Amino acid sequence: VPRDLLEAASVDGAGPVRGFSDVTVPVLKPILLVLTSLSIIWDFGVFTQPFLLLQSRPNTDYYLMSIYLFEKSIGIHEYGLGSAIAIVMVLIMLVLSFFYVRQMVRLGDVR
Amino acid sequence: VRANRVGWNALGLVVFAVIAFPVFWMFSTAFKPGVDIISYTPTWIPLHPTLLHFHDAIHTPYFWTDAKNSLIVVSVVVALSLVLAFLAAVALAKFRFTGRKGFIVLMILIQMLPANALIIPLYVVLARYHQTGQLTGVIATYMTFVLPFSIWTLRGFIIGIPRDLEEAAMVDGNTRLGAFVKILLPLVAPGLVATSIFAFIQAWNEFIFAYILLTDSQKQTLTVWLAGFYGTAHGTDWGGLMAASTLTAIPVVVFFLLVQRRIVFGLTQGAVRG
Repeated sequence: VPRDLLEAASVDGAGPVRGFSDVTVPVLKPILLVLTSLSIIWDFGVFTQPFLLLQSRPNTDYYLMSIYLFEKSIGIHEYGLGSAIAIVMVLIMLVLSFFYVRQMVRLGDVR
Repeated sequence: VRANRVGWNALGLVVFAVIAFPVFWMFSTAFKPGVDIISYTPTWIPLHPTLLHFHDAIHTPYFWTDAKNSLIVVSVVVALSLVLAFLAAVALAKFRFTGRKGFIVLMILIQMLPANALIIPLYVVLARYHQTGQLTGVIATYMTFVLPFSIWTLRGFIIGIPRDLEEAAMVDGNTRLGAFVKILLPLVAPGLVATSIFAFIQAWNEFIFAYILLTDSQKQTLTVWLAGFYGTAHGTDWGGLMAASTLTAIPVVVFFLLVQRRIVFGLTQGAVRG
């Protein structure tokens, strides 16, 4: 965030809160969007930690999509069902990725 | 203003403590004797430190074999991804070709795919080439997600190097290859270091694919070995598990300490005038 912008805002009578909400946040918005989408995308696929910690449980209340997929395909060899779950996961991911990729293109990262 | 700064520093310390606590607890538990670990009144630091758990962990079957397997996989993945990603990144950053933008978008999209969604297709493909149960199959699998990210990172670094520098080298009588080796390669070294750290961590920590592909205990990686450490008939051996986790974490830290000094940013700042 260029210091000049913040100084200009304070010259115009903006306090620290106003400066934060009207200068800092808008300037950082593109990068915040990228980080938010990346975080959602990565956490959506999380598997190892919950799987290792909870796999000995008999009930399925801890299932995430990734664990559900794993249990169905590798666990009980329902490969058709497993593939279907995988397709659904990828489709959800594609919707989220759309915003991410659009933001990357806007930022000029795709040149 | 002064009170403000103290407040922010305190907040920073609290955040640091929250993040560092699990690592500290792993380390601390690894040195505690069994009685202290399951005691109702937990102690912060091991009062009677013992190396017994480390001894147990190291002497658990297949520790050294699997550590060696992990090292092989990681070294090959790091070396291959550095070479391939560097060449691909140069092509993407320096040359115009048809389908370049599509390629870049595709590379971003590939990173979005959840790893678990790829288990079945990857297994089918690897089985066709008899690569399940082989370290080579695991290496090929890791390359599928390490490579796109590495290319992406390196491309960012290479774009930041002014074209004029290379052109100046070529005007001074260097060939394109000479400029490439003498100018581009040294300047992009910090990028190569950052990429290699990423590749190392990814390949070292990966679990699902190794777990599915490597079923023979002689041919597993350290993460799979660690997951198997968990359950014995008598319950979980927490001391041994924490000692084993500590041992597993060491190589990443060592690698990072070895190469991190080379991460320098802004090498080319002011290299070109005007």
